[in-house]
Amino acid sequence: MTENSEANSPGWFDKPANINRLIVALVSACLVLLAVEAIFGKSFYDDHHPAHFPIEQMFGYQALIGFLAFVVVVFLGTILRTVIRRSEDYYDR
Amino acid sequence: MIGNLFGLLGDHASHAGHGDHVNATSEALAQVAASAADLPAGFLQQLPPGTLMILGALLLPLLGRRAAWGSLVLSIASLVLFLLTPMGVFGQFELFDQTLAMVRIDRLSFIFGLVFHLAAIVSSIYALHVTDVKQHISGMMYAGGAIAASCAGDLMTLFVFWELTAITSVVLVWASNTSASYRSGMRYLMIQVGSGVLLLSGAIMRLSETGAVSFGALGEIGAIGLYQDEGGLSVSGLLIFLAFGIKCAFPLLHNWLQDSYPQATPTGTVFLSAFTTKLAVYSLARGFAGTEELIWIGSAMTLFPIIFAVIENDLRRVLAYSLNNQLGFMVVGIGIGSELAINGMAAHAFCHIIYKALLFMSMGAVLHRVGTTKATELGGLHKSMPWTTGFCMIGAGSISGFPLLSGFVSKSMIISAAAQADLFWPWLVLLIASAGVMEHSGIKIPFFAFFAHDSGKRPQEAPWNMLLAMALAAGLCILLGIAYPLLYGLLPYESHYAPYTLSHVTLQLQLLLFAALAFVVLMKTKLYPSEIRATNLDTDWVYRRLLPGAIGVGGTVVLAIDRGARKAFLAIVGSVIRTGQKWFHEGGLMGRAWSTNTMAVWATLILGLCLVLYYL
Repeated sequence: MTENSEANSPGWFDKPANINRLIVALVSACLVLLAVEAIFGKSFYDDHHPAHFPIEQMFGYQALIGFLAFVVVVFLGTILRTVIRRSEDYYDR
Repeated sequence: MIGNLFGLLGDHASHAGHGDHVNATSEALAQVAASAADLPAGFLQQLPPGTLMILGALLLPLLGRRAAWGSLVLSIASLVLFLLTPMGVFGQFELFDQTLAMVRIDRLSFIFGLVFHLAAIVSSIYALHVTDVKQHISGMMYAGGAIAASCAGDLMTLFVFWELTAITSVVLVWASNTSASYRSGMRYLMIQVGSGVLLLSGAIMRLSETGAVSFGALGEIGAIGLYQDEGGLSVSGLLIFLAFGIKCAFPLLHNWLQDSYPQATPTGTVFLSAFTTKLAVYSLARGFAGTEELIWIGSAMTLFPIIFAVIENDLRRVLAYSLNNQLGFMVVGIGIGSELAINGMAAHAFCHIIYKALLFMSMGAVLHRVGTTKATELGGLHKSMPWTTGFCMIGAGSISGFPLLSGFVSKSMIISAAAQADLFWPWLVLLIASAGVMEHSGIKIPFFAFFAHDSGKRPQEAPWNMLLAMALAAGLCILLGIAYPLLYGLLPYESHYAPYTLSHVTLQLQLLLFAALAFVVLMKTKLYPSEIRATNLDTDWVYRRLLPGAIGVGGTVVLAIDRGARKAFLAIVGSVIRTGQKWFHEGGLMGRAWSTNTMAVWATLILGLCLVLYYL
């Protein structure tokens, strides 16, 4: 994952404890981002990025879109696979 | 001769009103530009930019094994020449009562010409270890052709260089020397040349309709359009639109990209990723900015490839789908057509060429060292290829749009432009697609190649020249992300866009990190689809299986009818022969030897019969 860049020493990623640390860091970062939005509330949008659509008034809408879109895309991919998957040498036969 | 870059910077300095985009250096350079303005115009500026690369490429064989260095020198020299060429229209000549303009440089062609040069330089460094001269020749001619096409002042010049890019780039696919790459290259060539034929037909029709083949005046964006002035669909416009659409990988016309790019050599794919599709994006913007259909075409383009990318095993093919998805963002920008949207499109094309090349370079390094880019065969490579891993992650972060990296400052312009134009659904689609980019390029590429389950492979780190090229591209990704006014100063219109505001950074990070969280949840619950060795069908199935199959079935039917007809005919002929044989063989009615008496009797009888009949 993208936030792993600080650690590249061999073996670091093999330890489950380190993976758990990364996950804790990710979850904390997500919570901090929601907190920032909660604290700044309605004055959150600035002159450069004014809200255009009603959904933008909803708390955490980008977080929701990010999470849901990811899950839906992956599930759609899984469904698509059942339709379009062929053996690896399909075109060579 | 006023320098192009100097001109831009001078322009830039004159926008002193929005002070944050101006610095002292640009003012100093603008003064240099002013003093250089009195130099006489040179002969070289009459030739299309990139000519040096196209002609110089023909001399590369003379350099033998040093041809790679020759390519690098050519691309740098061409960049210098390009920067010294002023904006304007040059190289005009008369042909069949038409004034053709080989060169037209304005702010739109300049930014594309500039980034094409940068891509050529980085790709040349990346290919320094390649000894196969034909790859260097084709790479240089291809890059030069794309640069010349992006500065073409009329449709005929555009057509010539359009076809040049098609013919030269296919060599990079064929250079893999496999039967799969040969067949894929053939399909690629047919489709690319076909696009050129459509372009030529459209240009000729346009000539007869309007009496001109010009491709927009200086500074004009959206010169052709799909509709005539009276409102009806313009056939010539449609042909040109389709020609651009094929090269731009519109939905259903897209599959040549995923078919051929993963078949090219590790270094060839880096060249390919930069030029063809972005030349199409440039041409679409020049010809069709503000065409509403493009908003919907672009939206579809951002969505469908991300679903294919989830289940694709070959990581270079994942990148090809990802490239398709990124083109969608640009096409939406062209469709919206506002100043912000066109700026966003140009900025995104600029950043995209660099981070996409970076991603293809990192996968090329893996292919070079491991011999495959299939996710099922990879994993754990960060242990022995730490630099490549790091560069790949910078590319992945850029394409996903993490703040401080290049994708963030460009993609968000297009999304903001959609919001400003009150296009709710395209805006939502672009946000969903951004989460999708995080999936296939932000996480999947680095995760499955360099982390995930340890494949046990410990390949050597990439060669120095590959690392240098990746470092340069990664450096540019960071530079453009942080010093974004540099990029904004190059855009077609003046830009006041401010990407780094608290709300914008927070919201973008929410989208990306919650998408990453979704990945963690899916992995932990084992719902994330595992990598499987497979061929996934796409629209190429139509012309690789369905049509040949249909032709096969049609052939079988024709053969059956033909066989039946022959059989019936033979049966008739056979029965005629049999009857003839029965009657005319020795003992048959007609074949027997008749005695003279019998003959006389029969003759008398017949004559008698005739007499009787006569008297009746």
